[in-house]
Amino acid sequence: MKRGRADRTLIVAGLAAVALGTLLLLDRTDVLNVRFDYMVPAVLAAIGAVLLAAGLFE
Amino acid sequence: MTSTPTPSTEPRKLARSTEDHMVAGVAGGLGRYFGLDPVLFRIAFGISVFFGGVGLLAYIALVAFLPHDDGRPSWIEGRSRVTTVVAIICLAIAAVSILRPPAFVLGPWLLCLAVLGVLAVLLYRAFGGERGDDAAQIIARGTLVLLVLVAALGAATAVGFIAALGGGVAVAIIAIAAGFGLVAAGLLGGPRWLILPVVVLIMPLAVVSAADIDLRGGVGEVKYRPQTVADIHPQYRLGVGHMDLDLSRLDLPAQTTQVNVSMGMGEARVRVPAGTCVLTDAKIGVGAADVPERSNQWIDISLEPDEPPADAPRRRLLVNADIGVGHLQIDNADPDCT
Repeated sequence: MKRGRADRTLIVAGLAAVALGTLLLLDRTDVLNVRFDYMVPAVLAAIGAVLLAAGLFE
Repeated sequence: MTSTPTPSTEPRKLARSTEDHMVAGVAGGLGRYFGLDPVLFRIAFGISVFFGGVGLLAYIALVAFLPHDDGRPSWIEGRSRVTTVVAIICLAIAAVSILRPPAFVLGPWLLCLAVLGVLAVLLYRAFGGERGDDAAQIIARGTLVLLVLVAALGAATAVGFIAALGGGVAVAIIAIAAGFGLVAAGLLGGPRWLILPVVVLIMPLAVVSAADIDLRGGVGEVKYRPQTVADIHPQYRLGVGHMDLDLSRLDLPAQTTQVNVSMGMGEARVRVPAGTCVLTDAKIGVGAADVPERSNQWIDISLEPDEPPADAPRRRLLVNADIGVGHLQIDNADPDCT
């Protein structure tokens, strides 16, 4: 991969993906019971974080 | 028509556009007000027309109440008070009629279509598309966007099926690894389209997890008609389809008899002996429940069995249902025993 300038939007998207993935892993392993009440705000928060990052760092 | 925007110190005002209009200038005005492409609003209005007409109603209301950006007043402005009241009442009646409960079932699909529309426009822009492209460019880029969306939808559907068939843990672990991969790509200045495959991994898993969809159990239309209480299975399970559980011929004992229904996606219909006192313990991720006196629909439906009245018969049926996406219906139950 060509090394370029760090892309904070991509980094925030990655961290959001890790957070959501962890939440979903906990659900699938029956540690948590994730329902739409929690999942929809979590996904919207992740999208918002990425959009904020895209807006703040450019 | 395109024009070069000039900086203005005047506060933004929501108004119908006289320059950028295809019908009445509502989408053009919304686009200018929110700083977004009017095409997004046109797509949203267009899609919503097919789902109960709520978008059409909103459009009519905006046409009536928004002034023009060239100073001309709105349609409602200057009308008599009686006309204004009648118009508002008509819109309110139309809104209540359109937004009656069944229309809400389409909510998630409407949202999905809206998201797809936004994604399509964003992808079009990502591929270098701009307003004012000629027909050939629009067709070429539009085809590319369509192909990418179809591929992403296909992949997301496959991921959803894998997760719903028991591979959720593996998909979640891959999503976490992909997230770390995105962080690494971000540090190295990688391309942003890498976000799309991660979205394709996470979104279907999120839906499967939130709705608790479990497709293990087969596909199709199944009918069960136990003749005696002893014939009742410990659990009636179906992945996708229609389940008809006919208990109407059972002679229930004078105690609580339990039936367990588990379904990934589809409709489960439970027919009970006429006048049976039914207790319902149901969880439905997305869909509807039609049980005596307790119809409910939307998302995260959770029905707990109520304590029946003291004078209720002891001959009771406890329906324990777990449905990911779908509909639960219980027929012939005693409506007074809830």
